[in-house]
Amino acid sequence: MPTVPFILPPLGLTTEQAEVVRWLRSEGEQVQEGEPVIEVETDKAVVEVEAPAAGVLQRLVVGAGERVRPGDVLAELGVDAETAAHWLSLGQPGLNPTAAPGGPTSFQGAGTARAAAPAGLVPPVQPQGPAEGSRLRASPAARRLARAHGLPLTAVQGSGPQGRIQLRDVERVIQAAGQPPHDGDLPLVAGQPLPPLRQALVQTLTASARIPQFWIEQAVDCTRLLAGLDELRERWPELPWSVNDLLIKAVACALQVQPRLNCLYRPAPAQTADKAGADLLASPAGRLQPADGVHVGLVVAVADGVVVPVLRAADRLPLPQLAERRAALVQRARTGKLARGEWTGAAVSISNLGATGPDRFQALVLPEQTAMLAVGRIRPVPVVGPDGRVTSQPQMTLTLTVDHRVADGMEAAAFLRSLVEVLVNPAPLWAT
Amino acid sequence: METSYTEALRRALDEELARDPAVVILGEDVAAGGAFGVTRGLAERYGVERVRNTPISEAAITGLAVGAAVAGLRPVLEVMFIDFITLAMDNLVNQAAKYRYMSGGQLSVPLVVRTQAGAAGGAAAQHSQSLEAWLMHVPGLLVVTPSSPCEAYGLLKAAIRQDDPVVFIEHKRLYSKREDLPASEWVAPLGQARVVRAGVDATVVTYGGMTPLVVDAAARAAAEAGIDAEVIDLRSLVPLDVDTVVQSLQRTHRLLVVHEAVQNGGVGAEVAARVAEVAFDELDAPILRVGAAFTPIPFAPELERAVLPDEQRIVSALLRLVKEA
Repeated sequence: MPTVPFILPPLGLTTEQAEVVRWLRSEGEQVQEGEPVIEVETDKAVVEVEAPAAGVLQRLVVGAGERVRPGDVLAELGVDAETAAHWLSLGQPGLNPTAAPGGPTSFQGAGTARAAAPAGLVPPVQPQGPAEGSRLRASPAARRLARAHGLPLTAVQGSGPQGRIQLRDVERVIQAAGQPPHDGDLPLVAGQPLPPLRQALVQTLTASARIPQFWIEQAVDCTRLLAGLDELRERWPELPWSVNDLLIKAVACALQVQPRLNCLYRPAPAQTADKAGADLLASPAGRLQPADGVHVGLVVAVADGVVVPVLRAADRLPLPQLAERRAALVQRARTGKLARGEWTGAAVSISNLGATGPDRFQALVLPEQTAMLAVGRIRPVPVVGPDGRVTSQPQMTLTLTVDHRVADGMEAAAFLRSLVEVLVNPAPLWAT
Repeated sequence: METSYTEALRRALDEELARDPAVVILGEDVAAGGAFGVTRGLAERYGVERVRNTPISEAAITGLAVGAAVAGLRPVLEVMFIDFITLAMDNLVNQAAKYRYMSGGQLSVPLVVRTQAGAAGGAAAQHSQSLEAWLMHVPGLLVVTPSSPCEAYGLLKAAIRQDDPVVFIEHKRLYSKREDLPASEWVAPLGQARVVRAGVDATVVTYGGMTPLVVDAAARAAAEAGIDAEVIDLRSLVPLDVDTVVQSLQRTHRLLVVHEAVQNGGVGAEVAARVAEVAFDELDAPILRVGAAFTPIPFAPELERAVLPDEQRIVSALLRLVKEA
C-alpha cells in the first residue's frame, strides 16, 4: 500500500505552532476522509485535525505533548494507488522531491515539509478538485466573508461540490483562529503562561478597550417581569426559564423600535483580524453594516474566560422556543460545542452576573458590536409611593455601554427607554 | 368564516361593484356565473347592464374592454382560460399597455383581465398552460397572481382600483381552497411580496398556484431533513418585489424559485437574474429553479404529473440546494 504524509494544515491566520493533545485513533486503524484523528492545542483553541484522505494510520510520527507546526508530518497514511497518484499530481507538500508521477509511491516527507510551508496552504486533497493552476472555487458569500476578515481563500479548505469553498468553511477557519470553543478545565496558575482562551480574550478585550464608548444607566421596576416569569414557569414547568430569556426578548423588541443600534461596525477591509485593534486608531473610518436580523449575544462564563454565543432572530422566536434555544446555546458554549454562525451577527450583547452578582456594573462593548447591556442583580429597593407610603419594589439596574462611533447619547437613551418600557410592562414579550 | 377562493373573488367583485358605479363585468357567460362560477349571482344584484355577457371572441371583447376603460369605466373582463389570451394579445399588448405612454399620460386604461391558468388534471395542452412570463415581459401591464382565498380577495380589490391594466391570473386548483377571510374590508398591497413561512436555511420564491404546494414541501423538508426553508409568495410579478427576496437571502444565502410554468424564459429566470445582479455576494450556492418540463402539457394524467413540479420535486430541489449545492 502506498503511503502519503498526513500533514498538519494551517490552523488559523496567526497560529504558528501547536501542541499535540492526543491521538483520537491509534496506529494501524482505518480512518475515513474528514474524520477527526488527532487533537492539537494552539494558542487559541483545542482543534481536531481531520484525515485528509481515507486510509490506514500506518505510523504515528508525533506523540502527545510534542510541539508541531503547520506543514509538519503527523503520521504516515496508507492509501490506495489512485489517491496517492492524485495526491502527487497536486504537488502536495511533504512529498519526496525526487518523486515523479508514476514513480515511487512511498514517501518520507518529514524533512521537506517545513520548507514547503507556503504551498501547504493549498488544501491537500480536493475530491474531483480542479486541476493545478485552475481557478479557486468559492461561493460569493464565502468570498465576501473571507475578505471582511482579511482571510486568504487559499487558507480555507472547501467542502462543497468540486471543492467549492462555502460560508461554513470560512466560518470554521475564523472560528479556529478567533473564538475558541474551548473545553479545557485548566486553572489559572501564577507564573504560568495564560491558557489559550485567556490569550484570545486578551486580543478581543484590548480591541474592546480601544472603542470610544460611553455608559448610560437606568433602574427598572421588575414587579411585572418577575410575575411574568412565574407565569411562564407555571405554564411550561419543563422549560429551563431564566430572566435572561425575557431580557433577550426585550432587547430584540427594543432593537426593532430603535434599529439604529442594530448595526455592526466593520473595520476597514484591508485590516486583518489580529490587527483590528491596533488599526482602529490609525484608520477610524470603518463601515456601518445593518445586522442581518435581530440577533442578541449572551455572555457566558466558562472555565478560563467568557464566550458570547448569539441567539439568532430573537425577535421571531416565541418565548418557549427562545428559552429552549438559549439553554441549549449556553450548554454548547460551556462545553465548547458551538456550531458555525453561533457567535457572530449580534449588534448587542447581554452580560448578566446573576442573582448573586453586583447591584450594577459596566461592561465593554465587543469589537464589531454596537452595545453591551450589563444587568445588575434584582434586589428590593424602598420606593416612596404617590401617597407618601414607602414600599419595597424589586429593581434591577441596567447599564448600557455604547460604541460612540455608531450611536450618540440621544439614540442610546431612546433605546434604553424602549427597553425599560418593555421590561416594566412586559406583556408585549408574550405577543410573538 | 371559511371562504373558498371562488367566493373570495366574488366578494371582492361584489364590494367593488357596490363601491364604484364605474366598475362593470364583461365576459363569456358572466351573467350566468362565468366559466368557474366566480360571478354567480352578481347579474341578479347589479343587472345585466353591469354584469354583461359577451360573444365568444376574446379579441373583440378585449377591444371592447380597453375602449370602455379609456372612456371612463373600470371593466373587469373574464377570459376563461389564459390559453385564449393569445387571441387578445394585440389589444392587451399594443393597445391597453401603450395608451398611457402614447398619449403622454392623457389616457389611462383601468382594466382588469381576470383569467385562470395552470393544470388541474386532464385539461390538456390548450387549457392547462401558465403563460405569465409573456405578460410580465410587456411594459405597461401589471401581472398579479393570487395564491389563496385571502390573497384573491385583497389583490382583486387592489387590481380593480389600479388605473393601469392588470392581468389577474387565478389558478384552477385554487378555486376550491378555503380559508378565513378578514371580516372587514381589506385591500392587499400591490408590489409587496409576502413571507408565507419563516426559515433560515434556504429561500424559496414562488407565486400563485404553486404556493400551497411549496409550503407543504417546506414542511416536509423540515420534518424529514431538518431543512428550515423560508417561503415567499411574490403576489405580483409586475411589480416584482425583489427587496423582500434579497432580505430573506441575506439570512439564508440560498435561493430556489418554483413555478408551474416551463423553466425556459420563465419568471424564475428573471428572479434569479435580478437577485444575482443586486445580491451576488449573498449567494452561497447556485440559484436553482423548479418548473415544468419544456413540453406541451400532456392529456394523460400520468404524463401530466410527470412534467409538472410536485411536492417531491420541490423537496428534492431543497435537499440539493442545502446539502449538495
